[in-house]
Amino acid sequence: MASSSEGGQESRKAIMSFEDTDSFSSFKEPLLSYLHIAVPESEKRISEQISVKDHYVVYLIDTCLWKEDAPVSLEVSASVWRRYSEFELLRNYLLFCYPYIVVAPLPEKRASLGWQKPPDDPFDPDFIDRRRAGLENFLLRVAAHPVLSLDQVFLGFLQKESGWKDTASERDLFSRMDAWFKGLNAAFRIQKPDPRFQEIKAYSQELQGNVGRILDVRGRLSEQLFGIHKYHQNYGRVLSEWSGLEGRLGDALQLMDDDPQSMGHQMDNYSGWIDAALEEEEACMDQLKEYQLYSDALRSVVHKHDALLYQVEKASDDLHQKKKEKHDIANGKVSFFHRLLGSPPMSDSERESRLRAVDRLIEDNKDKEHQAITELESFQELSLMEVDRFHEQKARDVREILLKYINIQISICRKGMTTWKSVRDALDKA
Amino acid sequence: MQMAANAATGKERLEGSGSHKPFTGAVSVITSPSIDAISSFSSESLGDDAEVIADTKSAQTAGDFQISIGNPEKHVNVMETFVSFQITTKVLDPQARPDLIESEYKVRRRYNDFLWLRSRLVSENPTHIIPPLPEKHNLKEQLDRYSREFIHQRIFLLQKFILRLADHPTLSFNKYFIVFLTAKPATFIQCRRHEESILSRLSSSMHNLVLSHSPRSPEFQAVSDYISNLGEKLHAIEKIAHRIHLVRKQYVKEEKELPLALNAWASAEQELSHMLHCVLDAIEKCNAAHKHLLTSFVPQFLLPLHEYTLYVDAVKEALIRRDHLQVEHERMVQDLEKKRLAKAHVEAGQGDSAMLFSAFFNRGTSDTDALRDERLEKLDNSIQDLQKSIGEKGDRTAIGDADFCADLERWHSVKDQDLKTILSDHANRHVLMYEEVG
Repeated sequence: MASSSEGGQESRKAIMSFEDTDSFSSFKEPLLSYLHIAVPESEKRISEQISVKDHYVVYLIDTCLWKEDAPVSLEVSASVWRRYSEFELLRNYLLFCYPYIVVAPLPEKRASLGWQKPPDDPFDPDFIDRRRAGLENFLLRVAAHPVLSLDQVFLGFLQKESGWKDTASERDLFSRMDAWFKGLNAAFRIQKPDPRFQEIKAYSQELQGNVGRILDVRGRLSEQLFGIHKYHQNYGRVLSEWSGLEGRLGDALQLMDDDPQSMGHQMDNYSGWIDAALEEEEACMDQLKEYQLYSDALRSVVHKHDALLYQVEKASDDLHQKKKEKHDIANGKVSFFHRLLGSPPMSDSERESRLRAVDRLIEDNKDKEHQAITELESFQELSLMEVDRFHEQKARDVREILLKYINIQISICRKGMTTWKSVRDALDKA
Repeated sequence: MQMAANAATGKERLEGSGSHKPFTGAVSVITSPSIDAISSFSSESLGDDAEVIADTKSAQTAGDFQISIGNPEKHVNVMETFVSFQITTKVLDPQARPDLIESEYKVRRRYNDFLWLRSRLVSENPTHIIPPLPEKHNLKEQLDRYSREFIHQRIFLLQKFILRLADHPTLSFNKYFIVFLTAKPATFIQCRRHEESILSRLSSSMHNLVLSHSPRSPEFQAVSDYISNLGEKLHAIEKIAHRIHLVRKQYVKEEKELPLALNAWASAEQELSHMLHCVLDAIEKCNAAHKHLLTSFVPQFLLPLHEYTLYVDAVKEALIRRDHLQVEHERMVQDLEKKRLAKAHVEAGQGDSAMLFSAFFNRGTSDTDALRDERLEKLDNSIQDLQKSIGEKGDRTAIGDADFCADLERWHSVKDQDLKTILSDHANRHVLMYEEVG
């Protein structure tokens, strides 16, 4: 199941060039500038652990150092096989450790919005290959990131046969996941949402919708274009049969099978090259789809921000509560609870000790609030920068994707024009 | 002169209720709501299709004529509803056509009149290839047979029919053809009625003839094979074209959505919005080009192609009529052979069954000689008659064959030309589309 990594090379170059000219190059140099990464192959494997045969696909990750002075310790070259689920684990790990970063999405587990029906077989070679390209793209994106690319777990993922997983688990993934899920609900309880992040959230939804719609329409268009071209193949067949009946007209219709001028031949041609063109277009659209998937990554940043914001709000609420309590105690007010029990009013010493206790709590809460605020602020600063970075990357990429798309369309039209022109010439000559 | 006056006022006249008489002969005429319908046919209000209509309406030159069909009108009365078409004929070379006095004729005919003309031509020239007419509407078309699209397609095919006739060296001089193009309504109706009564008496003889299949000569067999093969291929191409047309329709429809989607996205992006708008414009341009191709597809490709499948059928019909003649001829030759054989028998005095019978009944041999002479004379007469008519028939068959062959040859060259034009026009339109896109 070998496959070319040509496409990957291209996208790597694209990402590289973007890094070179980028305003973020003031960061530490990302891994990609001295490590060559490629996912050149995939392989189908069978594991027979628990008496049930389990088919799965592994992808080969080739890494190769091409600069001497790497700031992190790396093998000169390494090859490891990884499963899709391991990529997922890696991405989750990165999401939890770097909540403020818009982590590149993985390719879809199931193909959707393509012009051809998604294959029923999850081991369809074409699909696997597209996923391979997607996974490579993911690794390159992470490796191009100045922070993510230097993560030890990521480096382990790239080069170490084992061990990286333990590190990933050690970092207490599950408790993080728990907190993260709590954060998911936080959005509904926040009193003063941050407009900047609200905007990001709205944007991510729009991005998903808009790109989805474009992909959807494009998919159907390609399907029909494909149909149109394929039906022309029938012309080719009928014309070549017909040519047998005719004299001079027959020559134009189809002189010989190898005559490139004949109409029948051209019609075969017309239906022939559309596959390649649409495949190219499909690859191009896969890149656009990445941006649709990015919307989830954006949203997860917003969620985490909201979770932090909620923490701050909760801390300041608590503080407020405690302050009020202190005030009440100082003024000798009896809480509703005490009145209900009919307990006698507090003595002075009792009041003193309670005030001290409340003061301590207030101090604690102040610390907590402060901590939460600093956490939030640093998160905001970092994540806004990351989102900007994302936008810049997106603008560049989408421009490139659109250019590619336009070029494909132009080449389709050119080929169509050549085909029909030679048909016309052949007929005019007859 | 009166004709010219007629022509000049023709339009106004025909729009009035009085104009319905010539076509139906019916007394009660309901003023039709057709005026609305008619105005909807006029080319000004057609918008997108305007170009297409202009194509079909424009006069075309064929033979000594310049003929155009157009200006359809819907007629409604108690008995029926139908559409009539105006046929304008200009005589280009009056010297060549002494049979035509006026330089321009304008008449109104309905589809049934075309059918009548064709059937007259067929029975007068059985061995000529008579160009085809559009089919009677099928069930689906029945529902919208007054739709603009259907009418325009019909006009196209009717015009093709008339032009092919006008171009034909023999058929263009046929008296019915001339009547059809020139006769005033009253004269035309009269002529039609008269002919119809004759026709109904004659028509049966042709059809009752059972075609016993004596093998055709290889020459005609080859023609027949070729024609049915060609018919098949054209049919296949027509079917494919239909499919492509449908898919392309869908494509054009969906392509319109892409700019909308891009537009929505562009409004959400600041940096990319300009770029997205550029792409959007380009796609809209492509869409316009595709739409162009789509609208020209039916009148420029599908319809001419369809006419050819009909034409192929017309050739088949002519071939069958020619076969009939051959069969008739062969039958007469067989009869002659029989009679000759009988004569030989009588002369030889050998009793065939009939002789035996007569001998038996007459019982004597005295009058056998006289009887024999009588029979011989009878046989001789019938043999002579037969020989004469066989000669005639043979000549007719030979002429018919020659006619057919000449027609076929003409047909071939016209066909090559036409099909070539259709296909290369088709190709050209694709090229134009791509150029427009580029």
